[in-house]
Amino acid sequence: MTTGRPHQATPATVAHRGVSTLLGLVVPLGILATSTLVASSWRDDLPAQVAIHWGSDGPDGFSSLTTLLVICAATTVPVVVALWALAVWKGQARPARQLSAGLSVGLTTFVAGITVGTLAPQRGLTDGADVGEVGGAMALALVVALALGLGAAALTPRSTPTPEADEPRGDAPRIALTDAERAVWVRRTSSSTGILVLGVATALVTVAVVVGNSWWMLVVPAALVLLIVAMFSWVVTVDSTGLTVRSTLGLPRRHLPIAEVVDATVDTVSPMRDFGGYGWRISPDGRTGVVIRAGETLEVRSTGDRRFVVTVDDAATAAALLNSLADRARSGPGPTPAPGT
Amino acid sequence: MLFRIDPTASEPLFAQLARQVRLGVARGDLAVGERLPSARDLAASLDLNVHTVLRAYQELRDEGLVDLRRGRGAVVTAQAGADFAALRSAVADLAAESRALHLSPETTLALLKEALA
Repeated sequence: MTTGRPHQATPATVAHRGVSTLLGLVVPLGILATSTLVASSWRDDLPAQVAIHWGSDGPDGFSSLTTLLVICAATTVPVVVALWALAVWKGQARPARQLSAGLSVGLTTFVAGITVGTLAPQRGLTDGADVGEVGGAMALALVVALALGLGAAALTPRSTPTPEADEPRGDAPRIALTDAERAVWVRRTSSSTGILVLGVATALVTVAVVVGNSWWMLVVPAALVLLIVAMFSWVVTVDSTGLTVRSTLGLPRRHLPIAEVVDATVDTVSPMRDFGGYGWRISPDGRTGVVIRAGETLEVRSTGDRRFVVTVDDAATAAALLNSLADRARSGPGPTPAPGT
Repeated sequence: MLFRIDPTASEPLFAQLARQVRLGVARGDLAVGERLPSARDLAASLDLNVHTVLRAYQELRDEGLVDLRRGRGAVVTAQAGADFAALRSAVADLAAESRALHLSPETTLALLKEALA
């Protein structure tokens, strides 16, 4: 019985720290600083108490400009710093860095957008309660934030792919494939509870929008529907090119080339406990993955100390096939494995 | 679901695929209403001609095992899901009886082949 050399668990240096700092710290804080400065420059034009919250009958919450700006900063800066820390210390995998950059840029753009968008119409007023409808500005801020967040994620550079030289370790599961055989494992995985919960939420928000007559808010249920479809229904494929996990929408998509696969195993996860939620997640220990239910999980370690998980049924077959195909990729076709291995 | 093909075997490739889908349905690995991978994706993963996969899917459609729908691909039909529970139970009984009598798998299979001939 041959065994591969056990993979040395040396923590790999996180790549692209400079870009992560630029996209995940400098740009988001710059956006926030800009909107704060712009808002501050309007101080003399604005009412002493600016409207900061709108109900169905117009503005119903007020505060001083300073309080508003401080709250905005106090709620966003810690999040941005935490996400930056994640990217720089635990961001071996590109999705982790993408999440960090995308969320930070998106969040600060949104906050900046609604700050400027709700204060601009209040310039020249003496009473904040006189300001009109700001829904359009908020919808615009949301759309721009989404676009810039996705842009930051797209700009995140790939981890430098280093090929793995060794076969997966000997005790990882395998499938006996003859030299001539070709194989693929495909499975759809979806969370009907997740879809149901978000579906109900979407329906409720839609009702609220229609009843409350704020049509611009239809952006929210529309975004929720897209999110449901994208995040809760996936196709997982293991073949000679490696592991591919893609949403049934086509994107998001993650492909792990066979050359970078270290090994594949089966594990169990609990989404709330291990990943803090459902969907495409990062865990505090740097694992990224598609986690849409508790239980049986395919875990793949790849070069650069990256670990990727997918909650999917029949993960054992997927892991075994991936290891066997990785064997084949490393050494080329060798002698046919003895029956029963 | 695992799909494997052996180009060196005498059985034609499309037949190998069709056989595996039938087995998958009989075993319960493929549920009623489940969508098979698109012909293009399966062909790409197995390095096959798309028409090879399509031929397998068409054969399965002709048997009533799958529905081929535009935009949805091959979907396992309700009819395909019928009655396999009884068959699986019979297989389990056969295996248990065979083990109890200490029959070798080869002997059991020979008996089964005779019964199916």
